[in-house]
Amino acid sequence: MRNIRIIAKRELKSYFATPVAFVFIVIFLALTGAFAFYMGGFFTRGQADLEPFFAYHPWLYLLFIPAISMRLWAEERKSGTIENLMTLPISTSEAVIGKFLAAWLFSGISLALTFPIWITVNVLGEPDNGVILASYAGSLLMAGAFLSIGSCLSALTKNQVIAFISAATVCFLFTMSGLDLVLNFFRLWAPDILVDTVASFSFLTHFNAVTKGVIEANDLVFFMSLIVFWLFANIVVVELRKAR
Amino acid sequence: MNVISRIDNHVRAYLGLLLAAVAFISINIFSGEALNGVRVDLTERSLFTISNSTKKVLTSIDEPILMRFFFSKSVGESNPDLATHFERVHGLLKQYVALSDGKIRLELHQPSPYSTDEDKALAYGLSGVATTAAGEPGYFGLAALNSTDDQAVIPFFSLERESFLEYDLTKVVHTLVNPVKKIVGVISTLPVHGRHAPPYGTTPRWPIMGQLDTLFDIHALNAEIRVIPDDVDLLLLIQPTRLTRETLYAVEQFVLRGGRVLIFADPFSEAQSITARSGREHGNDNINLLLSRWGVVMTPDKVAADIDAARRINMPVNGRLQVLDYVVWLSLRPKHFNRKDLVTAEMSRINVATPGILELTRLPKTTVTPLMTTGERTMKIPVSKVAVANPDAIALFRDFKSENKPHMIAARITGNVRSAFADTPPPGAAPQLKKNHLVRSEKPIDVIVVADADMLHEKFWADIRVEGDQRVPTPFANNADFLVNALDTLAGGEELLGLRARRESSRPFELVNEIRRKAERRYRSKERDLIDRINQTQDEVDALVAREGASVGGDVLSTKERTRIDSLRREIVSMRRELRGVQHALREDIEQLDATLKFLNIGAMPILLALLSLVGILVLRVRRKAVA
Repeated sequence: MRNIRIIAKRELKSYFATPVAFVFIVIFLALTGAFAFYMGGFFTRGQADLEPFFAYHPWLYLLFIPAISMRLWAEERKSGTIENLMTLPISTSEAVIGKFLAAWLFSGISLALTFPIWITVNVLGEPDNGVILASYAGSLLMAGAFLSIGSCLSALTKNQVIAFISAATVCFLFTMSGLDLVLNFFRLWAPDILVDTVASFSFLTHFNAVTKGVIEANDLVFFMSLIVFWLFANIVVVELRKAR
Repeated sequence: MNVISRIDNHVRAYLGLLLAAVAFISINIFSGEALNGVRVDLTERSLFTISNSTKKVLTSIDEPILMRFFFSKSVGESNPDLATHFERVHGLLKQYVALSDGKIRLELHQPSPYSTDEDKALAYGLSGVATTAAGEPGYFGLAALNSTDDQAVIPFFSLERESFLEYDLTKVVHTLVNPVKKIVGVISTLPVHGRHAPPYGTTPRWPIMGQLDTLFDIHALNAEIRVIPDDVDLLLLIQPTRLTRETLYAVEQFVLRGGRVLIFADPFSEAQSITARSGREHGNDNINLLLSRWGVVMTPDKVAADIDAARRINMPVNGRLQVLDYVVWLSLRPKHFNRKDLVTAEMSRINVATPGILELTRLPKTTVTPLMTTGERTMKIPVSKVAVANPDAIALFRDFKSENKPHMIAARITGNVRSAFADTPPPGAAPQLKKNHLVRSEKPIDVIVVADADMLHEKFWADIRVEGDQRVPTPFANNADFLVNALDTLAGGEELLGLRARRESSRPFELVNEIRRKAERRYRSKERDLIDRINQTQDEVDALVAREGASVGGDVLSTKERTRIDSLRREIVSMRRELRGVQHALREDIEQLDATLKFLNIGAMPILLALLSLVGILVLRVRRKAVA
């Protein structure tokens, strides 16, 4: 436990050691705001809710989260610091979880810094703040899910670009899994119940449900179990590579 | 050795991953079944949690109910939103089954084309929707039956009614548990039942009456009736103008005997002018005859105007359609309603049009509980100002002067009262009533009076969509819910009250509306000024020019007059420019707000962060220098 905290802190500090973190946050904030106002028509819509703001999060995350996750492991393997990391008296799991938590915290900070729009919508009218709170929670969970996928994929390669693209692709598949594009592939050979289950893996379905203001146990279980699975896969991959 | 252990490791790894994947899938399948319905509802009005009203209805079930739930797979496949909706409906139904203690049985049918399930669905009257390109119908509805073969059907779970889902489902159960509907006698001078009168054309039944059908048995009564039939449980009076004394007597005696009545009386009924009845109906003095004995009177010939609750509408002004706040059409919000009375406790929005004002009389010792009141900034406006073909809405807005007094628009009256006819019933009254003439009420009366009848017309509460031969209302205000709730409380069936109107009506940008209203007040009066002055000046110019044109030979305009024409023309040009400027100013404030907000939300944080990081870097550099 203590080790996880140490690793997480070390990792988080390293984010802010370079201006990369600030650039990332700045662009993230600007884009989420711009999408909400220009593409979502937040002001012209005239409704006091943040639906046009949250609607674009899944798509923005497709771009931003792999950018965070790609350097979690790929860089360490490339620069060789992974050997350094592995000689420390910590287990692989602690390292994986620690890095993941740091990345999740970082994305959480970026998300929290969008608070001006929450203030804005409360000044303009009387929104349902419970719904907004649920939406932020859902967005954070989804970011964690994306991150866990990206982190595992980043451990599979030395090249950050490959890590980025593969993470974006897999996350895209998960996001769209409720639509025919993905389901038709499964319908060919899988039993109905499996197809239904794959359909239920769509990030969009769960995210849209949570942004309505209700957090179902199903949604929580989905996101948490997904994160656990990919972290486990991540640990396995790192262990395998270590053994080499 | 090494190779083998490496392979071993790999095999173990892959096995582990496979197991993990299976575990992941199984956990999700399991939670999908077992944890269905477990949730945290963070919405302000707990829109997604089962309410106490539903629980009460479910415990009141005495005999088994069978629910046949139809959902074609093709519906979910063609529209993912409906697939999610299906999950929600299915989950809710399973919760109902759980809470009903076994009294509800749920059957899920998934009709595919030409199956027996499809035949069943059609037999119940479910609506099919085209799902594939071939147009094969899919079904998404519910048919519920009780042991006495009563039926309650939801033809299609449309997405528009998503927020009414719990209400719709509980209503189905309630209808089956209480199949005997109370009879509502309706005396109406407005054509609420529809009219098939050739000279006036055929008008359909008002959709609001359709909202009553599942709960009540509606009997249309003649407006000149002399005795209320024995089987009538409740009376509904809609715009009871020009009732004869005999009818008033019948109504009064009904009330004195303990009958409940709901009255919608309007000093000016827009609906009457919509439906083009000949002659203007105003003056409700005869219903005041009864009301005054019960504790209120409707102020004759006055409507209530409220500048804060005014509705924003499109109105033709000078031939052009303009958007403005019409101060006598009010959009009432929760702050205008009595939160403690079951009728109005959960209302979000009720639209009234040219409402009258109820004032207390000092006479009887009844309890008058206000149900709907206006805000503080109100004004009494004479009916003559609004009872015209094109009321001057702009003038009403501009000349509005708040009297700083709220007015009562709807009230519930309880208590004991005396007859308005004292000892002498009117000569033409029905003999059986005369024989048993009551001088005072047998038990405390329970009457609801609303000083507006227009709120019943669909243009004030719903968008109507025509589907085949059905007119389907999608409500944007709770007017219909008010009517049903009022009748329900008077009838004594209060279980469904907590469910109605839990829908969120829209949450507009109050600040923007405030700014717009303020700007409009400045703008409208200035615009009127400028237009008047421009017209005046133009008239002057025209007069002078006409003189020049009229003269033939001789009497040509002097140079002084010519310069006058020129200067007047220049004045007009500059006033027109001013007018355009004023029209611009209206939008300016709002556009300014838009730009400011865009900057604050998109640019401010990044700039702030950039500054902070610069400061941070500088501080670090200073510190490093200090150390060095």
